[in-house]
Amino acid sequence: MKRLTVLVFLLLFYLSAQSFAHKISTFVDVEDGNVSIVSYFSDGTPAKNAKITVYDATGKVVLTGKTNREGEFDFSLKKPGSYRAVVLAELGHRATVDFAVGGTGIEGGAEKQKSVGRKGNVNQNRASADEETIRQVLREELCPIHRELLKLEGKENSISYKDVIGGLGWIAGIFGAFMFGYCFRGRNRGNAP
Amino acid sequence: MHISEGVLPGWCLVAGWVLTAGGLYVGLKSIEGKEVPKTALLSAAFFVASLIHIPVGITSVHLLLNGLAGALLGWAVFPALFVALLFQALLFQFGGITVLGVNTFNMAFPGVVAYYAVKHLLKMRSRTSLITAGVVAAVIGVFLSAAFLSLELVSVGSSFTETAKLAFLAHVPVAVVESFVNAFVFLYFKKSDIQLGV
Repeated sequence: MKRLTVLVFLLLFYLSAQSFAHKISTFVDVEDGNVSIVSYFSDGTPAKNAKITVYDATGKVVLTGKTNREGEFDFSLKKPGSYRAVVLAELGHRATVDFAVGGTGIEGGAEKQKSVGRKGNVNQNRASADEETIRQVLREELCPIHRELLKLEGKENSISYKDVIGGLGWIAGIFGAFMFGYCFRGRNRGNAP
Repeated sequence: MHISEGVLPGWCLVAGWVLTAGGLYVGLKSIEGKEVPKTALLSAAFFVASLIHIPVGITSVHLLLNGLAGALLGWAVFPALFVALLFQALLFQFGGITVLGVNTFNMAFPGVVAYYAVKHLLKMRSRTSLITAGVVAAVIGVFLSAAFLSLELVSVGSSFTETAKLAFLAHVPVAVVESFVNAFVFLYFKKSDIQLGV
């Protein structure tokens, strides 16, 4: 009996060490109307094959899709505005994230198209090309920071054994207090349980 | 199976709290002194089970154990799961305080249904009836919870219908694993001659 209990506990802890995740964190990157959503479980494993539904400001479904093996999902939205993406991983674990398409990014894109239209204006073309390069460089530079932030957030969200054991202590305490009250009442009445 | 904070409309939350309060009242009245440790134990088991993900095929599931808790506790499953869910919400932000009523009802009420469904099977104490009881308790506990969850999510808006359907399908492996766990527990109780108290 004792040995069995120990075995079960060891097994449970082994399994729990493998994936100890419950919540998903979602990050959105908007670039000129190209949106990429990355979704991670709190222990850092990507949310594979999670269903993503994108709603617009009025609550209408704009598009749906699934994340790939890296937990990423890329799509492009033409219409500027605010959107909400709902990520649904297995077992109804879901996360919502709001993002806006438009503002500077879209304006930049529109300007670029205009400048392409006016082929004569070389300067403007070059300016937009430079801008594109800078964006690219920035994106590459910021990538590790992104990852680091994600890792930190994951740490913040992940469950520690401390919390689990603390919670168990709370449960024992609450029911212990209940038991104490029950016994106390029973003794006063003279019929202890 | 935890509904996140801010998903459900106000009336749904209030209804959840009212139903849970009723269940808690009946549950607390039904607990006899010597059943308190059992309630605490199953509360703790439920608390931990939700944290442990078991990989099954491409997805990972966590056990709910509400069928097992219900079958062994009866109405006392309400206080047991309420306490466990409260600490999951406080410590890990699973679900939340405002949706605690709804989440407790989702988990505990199927437990009560499972209790009435397997009551007679557990009394028979034969091998087959105990295994059947385990399967029945698991199926009722898991799928009724999924049904309540789906119903509540559907009430939010038709856009959630598909979400709910997916949640329902995803719980098939949970029910299977839990059937084994329940059957194992019931058989173990019989082998070591522990009174099930039902």
